[in-house]
Amino acid sequence: MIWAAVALAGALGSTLRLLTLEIGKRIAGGHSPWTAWVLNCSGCFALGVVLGLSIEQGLSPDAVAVIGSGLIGSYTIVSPLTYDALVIGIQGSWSKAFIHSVGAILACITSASIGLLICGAL
Amino acid sequence: MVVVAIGGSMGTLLRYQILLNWPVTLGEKFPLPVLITNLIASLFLGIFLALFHQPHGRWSTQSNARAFLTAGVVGGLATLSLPMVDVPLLIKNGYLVWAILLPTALLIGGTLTVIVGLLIGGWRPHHDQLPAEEEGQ
Repeated sequence: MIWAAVALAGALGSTLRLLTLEIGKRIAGGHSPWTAWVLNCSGCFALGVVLGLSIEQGLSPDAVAVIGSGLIGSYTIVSPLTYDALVIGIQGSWSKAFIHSVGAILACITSASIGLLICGAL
Repeated sequence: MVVVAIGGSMGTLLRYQILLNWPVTLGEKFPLPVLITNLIASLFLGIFLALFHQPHGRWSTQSNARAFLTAGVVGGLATLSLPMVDVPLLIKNGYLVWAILLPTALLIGGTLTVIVGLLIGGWRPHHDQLPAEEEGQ
């Protein structure tokens, strides 16, 4: 039955992602790469907390599967790092694309580390 | 939104099954399954974006199918948070090379597979604009 819960959590995560991007679009007044930063950093922080709890506090594997793999896994997206960078690069600036991608990855790793640190897993 | 949720649950389930059969040990091994899952997702993102972008193609008016496949299935299949949590754990355990290699491979591999996907889907680099990324894939 765990797969059904994972599927449901995945649906919820995708919907949350859509909503977050929509809210970001309203606030920024259009498509902004920063929305994906906020989205991914919040997701990476949350997964850091969940996996930190799993390592340090013995959070059950089922909970990790539903919240981690299902909800958060489907909430975060990789395409800002690949497709957005491609769009920025083709529009004219490959150095800007590079900075955008590397910056996004570093921000995500930092958010994940903070999540892990809070739980004492680092 | 409903089609994205349904597609998202399918993509998530697919990723969950892949990682169930080919598990990842966080902080101890290079998470090859996560990398490969993401590269497959990038490839299909490129294919679908290009297919639905063809102005007179049979797919161009199918916005629900587009959202289902891109923001839904591909968005659920790909995941960024897992490799990003893995990096600090790899560093902690002393696997510095893997910790650097993982995001690098994700970035370079993901961009290349997206381009390959776009080309498979019929995108012509010097003629067509890049398909717009709209509904959060």
